[in-house]
Amino acid sequence: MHQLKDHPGRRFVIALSWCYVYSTLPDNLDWRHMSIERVLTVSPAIGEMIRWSMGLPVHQLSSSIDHRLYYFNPDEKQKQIAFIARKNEHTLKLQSLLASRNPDYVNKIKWVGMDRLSQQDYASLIRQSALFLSTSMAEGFPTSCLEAMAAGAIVCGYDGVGSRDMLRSDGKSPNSLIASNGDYVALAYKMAPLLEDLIHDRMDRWDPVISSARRTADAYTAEKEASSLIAFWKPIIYGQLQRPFVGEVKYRDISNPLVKNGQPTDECPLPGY
Amino acid sequence: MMVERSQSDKLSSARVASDGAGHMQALAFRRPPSHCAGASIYYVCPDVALKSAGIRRLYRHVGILAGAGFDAYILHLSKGFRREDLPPVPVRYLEQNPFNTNDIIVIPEGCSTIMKALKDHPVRRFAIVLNWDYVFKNLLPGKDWRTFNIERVISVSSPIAEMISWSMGLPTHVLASSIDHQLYYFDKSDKQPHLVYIARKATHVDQLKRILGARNPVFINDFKWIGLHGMNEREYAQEIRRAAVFLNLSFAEGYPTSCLEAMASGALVAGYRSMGADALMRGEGPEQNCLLSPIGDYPSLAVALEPYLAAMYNGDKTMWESVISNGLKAVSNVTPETEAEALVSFWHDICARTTPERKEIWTKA
Repeated sequence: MHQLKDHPGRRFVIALSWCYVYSTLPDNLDWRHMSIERVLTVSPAIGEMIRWSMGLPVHQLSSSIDHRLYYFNPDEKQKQIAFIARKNEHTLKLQSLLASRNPDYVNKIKWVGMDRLSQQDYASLIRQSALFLSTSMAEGFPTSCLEAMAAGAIVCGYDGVGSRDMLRSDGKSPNSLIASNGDYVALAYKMAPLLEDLIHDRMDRWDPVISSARRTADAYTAEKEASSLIAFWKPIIYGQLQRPFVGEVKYRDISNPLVKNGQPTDECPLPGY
Repeated sequence: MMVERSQSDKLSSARVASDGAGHMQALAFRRPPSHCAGASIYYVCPDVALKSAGIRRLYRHVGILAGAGFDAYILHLSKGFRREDLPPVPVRYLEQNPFNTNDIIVIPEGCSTIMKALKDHPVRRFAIVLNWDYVFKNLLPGKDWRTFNIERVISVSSPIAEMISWSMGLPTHVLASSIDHQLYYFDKSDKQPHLVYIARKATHVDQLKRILGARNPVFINDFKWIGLHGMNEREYAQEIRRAAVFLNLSFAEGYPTSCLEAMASGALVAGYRSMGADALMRGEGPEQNCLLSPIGDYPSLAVALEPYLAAMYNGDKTMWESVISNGLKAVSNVTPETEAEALVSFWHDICARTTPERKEIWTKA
């Protein structure tokens, strides 16, 4: 970004992971100083963060999963928990805690750490698994969780901030078992009844969660992704969406904040947009 | 090798501890039961110079017990090591194997190697849990404290005790904790536009600063951000008393002593939620006493913190007075007296039991 900041082209950022944004920027500089014009993302959480901090225009695009690879076949299901090995720093502690509660949770259920599998093999493992464990604390867009949901594997873990709009473990139609980020103890409390049912072949009690998860995943189709992408680029290419900002970076005025019902509001747009 | 202790050794130990904790003299303790006289209490303490609330607590427990007439010691590993920066307490050394039958060894949660090494000694073994995240870090699936013949578990946090009880089924005891109100108190005239944090626990502080700086650079340029590191407690407390904000960016805080000290000093505590602190720290509702976000979620923390920083910048924090005052209220009962009473009462009951309760290793169906 820095290298290209004075080139005559237009510069957009595509933000895939929220945790890389501010860990890779130098102090006192952000994307506005590098003449970035707008930001594309598929994650509402990332969009909110960019809008709130840099005030750049954010375009929320759709994402998709491959429903030909990730589908639900109850006959394939095994007493198995799958997790992505490189993203599960809490798995060992969670296993130890659960095993202390009941050793059957690790002895009678297969825990499979997935690493360097082909897409076909990975999908096959997900389809066979009853549960998908995601204990990453910093997820951008939870593609792996959506794939698991489509394949009828119950997602257990953290929302990793980026999945908080999609994964619900409370309310009318929960689609997963989610604990507060980093709290593997609360996660163990939530998972224990599910593991009991898995061991004792009572998974029909979890059908509503599986159905709700599949409905969530159904919305992420290749067609929707394509149409949202075209809808974004068309006005850019045909000149209807011009570069909106030229000049000095301006910041929100906090010396005179807008106040509504006694609380500061965030309604004042940044100057220049 | 068993070491026989002389009466004068015990008396001088008690005197040293009592001198080290002046407030103890005002308390009218029950003396230990007479049959306690044969048993000593050893708190295992790692030989590290790290300044931590956990190590302070181990020393404090021994100081209180020795001051109340119990034969209590800090048990360091290597001969000669002791923490000179903490109030003096009786110290003995594991390498000298000073134990007699029926002595009680209290082992911190992270020391599973020591638990394993002592599992067949003719002593009683308790665990003390200060940080929930250390418990299962060093344990392999299939091994837990029951396999090391731990009899019972001491904690200062109900959620942590609940975790042990849920997983291992061991008897747990939740004791009171304390902060030093002579060091941590609210003096409005001391306050500066400072944001302080414990440097070794603040992995995300740069990201938090950058996101707030992108929102508005005054949050970085007009306020002083101070990473606390290598200070003695007096210096540390002074920084906390001056601070307007205390940031808790720890990924796995046990009992949140540092947050409570900051509350007592009238600083706004803002940071990551901690399982060990759930009963004391309220991030919302009428009893709100701090700003909380999920662990690792610094974007949400920045959003929560910004109105307070804007109020600081504008010189009007009226809207935040209730949060600060709730914080002061929450810690008002966290006193050395309450801690000492709970501790002495616990050990009095333990010593009154001539035989330890032995539970079968069991598993909940």
